[in-house]
Amino acid sequence: MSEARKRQFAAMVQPHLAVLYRAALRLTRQRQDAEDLLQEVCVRAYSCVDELAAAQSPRAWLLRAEYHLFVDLARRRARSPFVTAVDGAELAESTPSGTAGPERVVEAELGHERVAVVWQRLDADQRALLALHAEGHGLDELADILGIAKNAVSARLHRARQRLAKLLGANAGGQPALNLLMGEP
Amino acid sequence: MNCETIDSILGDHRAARLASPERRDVDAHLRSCDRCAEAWSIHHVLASERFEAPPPALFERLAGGLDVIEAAPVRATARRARWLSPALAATALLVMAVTIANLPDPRREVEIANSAPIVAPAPAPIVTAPVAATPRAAPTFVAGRDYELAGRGSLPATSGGRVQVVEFFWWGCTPCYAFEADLLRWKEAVEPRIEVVKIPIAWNPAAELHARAYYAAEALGRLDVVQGPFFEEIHRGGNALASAGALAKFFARFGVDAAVFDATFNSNAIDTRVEEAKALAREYGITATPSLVIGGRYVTTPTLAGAPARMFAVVEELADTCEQTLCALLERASAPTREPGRETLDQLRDRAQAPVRSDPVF
Repeated sequence: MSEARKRQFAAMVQPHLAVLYRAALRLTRQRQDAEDLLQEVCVRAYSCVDELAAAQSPRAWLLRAEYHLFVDLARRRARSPFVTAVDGAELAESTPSGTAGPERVVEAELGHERVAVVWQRLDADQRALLALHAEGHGLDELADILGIAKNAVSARLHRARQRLAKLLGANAGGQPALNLLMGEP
Repeated sequence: MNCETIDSILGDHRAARLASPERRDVDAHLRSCDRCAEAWSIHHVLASERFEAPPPALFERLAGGLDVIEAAPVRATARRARWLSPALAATALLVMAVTIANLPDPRREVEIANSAPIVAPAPAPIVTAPVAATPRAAPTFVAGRDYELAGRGSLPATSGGRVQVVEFFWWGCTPCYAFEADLLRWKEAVEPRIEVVKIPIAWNPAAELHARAYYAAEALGRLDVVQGPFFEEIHRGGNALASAGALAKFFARFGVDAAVFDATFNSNAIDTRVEEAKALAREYGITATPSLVIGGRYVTTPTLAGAPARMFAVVEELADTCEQTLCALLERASAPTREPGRETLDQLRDRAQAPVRSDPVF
């Protein structure tokens, strides 16, 4: 690429790389997939560098590209029988029992493991929304990224959390997700 | 304190910044409202997960993937490229990282080829002169609307130096039959830079029989003569060719002895080919025919891309993208390690025609 264009591209993208990368990791939960996703984002950003430069918030522009590319890719993969969802039986073997020891600590770590197991079963756009939100993007920014109203973001976030809670509960024999996450039997 | 307030506190990550009276209100509400308590805990778990920072040189790697979009003698590189295996892709990225480090040097084209010693001693590096970058128009077609990203699959990006386009098809499928004439015309027009390959799908018993027949025809060297008439026989002749017997009779018309046909049709080699075809269709999530896979990476169908003319425009644009990104990367990465003995005749011819600089540049 030309020097000037490369400099322009680097100036637009590099400051947001860490944000994009962490969001990609959250979305895909695989380093290689995260990098592949970012490569797609860069291809998109590079081919639309003028549009990106004119964007009010380049970060939101890039995150929007990442969001849409991720959802496209995930939907495509979801249709392939090669991608297998982790089922409840595997969960039972791979995670400690829901009844915690006497310490009853708030087991955020355990919560993370449980989330990781059911994560792929959320819809792609729910995964994307929860991931971007968890990365610290507030309702206003998410509304901008998704191109929908702020209260719609709030409602969708709530639905996504409910669905995640339901999946967590279903995976652990119907226990309320709250207990699972907070380590209370 | 109500549920909406809780949602907005969570939504804008204000939990940590709450003043203590407000915090008490929140706690009181959470104790009495399961809905919000659940939302709060889910949010807590998600937000407390920490992910690592980007690895070093990530930006350089990503930019390296882009560098080839505008640079590089694309046509010449595509001609020599084979396909992009993961290992080669990794090497390509490595080489690109070296390139980026040296970006300000206007002679970087030459430098890439000469970065060979880090990989293996190269037999007389072949250096093509830099070609002026061709301006690349912004993509006209959009992923998710005109085509879909398939992710990384097993189909190669290129074959014999040309971008590979695979048509998943079924002889018994009416849209495939309607599409065939357009496909053949287009195939001829793009022959120099795009290789069109067919893969039969085998979703149902009839399609599986036809897939076996396809590979049997290939094994018997009759594919070219059989292809068109097979479509005609089903769609115009009203003969479904839905049994091994019917197929043997059909092949007999093309001079294939029934016993030879049976032996080929029922051979293990054909089993293997059909299984491979099925696996590829599964891998690429093919759910309709005809579906075209471009460069092993993009998938489009008439539903996505529209009429054949538009569909071919989509395919060509994607083929350009493949050519410009993957192939150029591969070419640069593989040039230093190319073994003379393994070059194809085409490659040797290319070399003979390419402007060769044998003098050490640096």
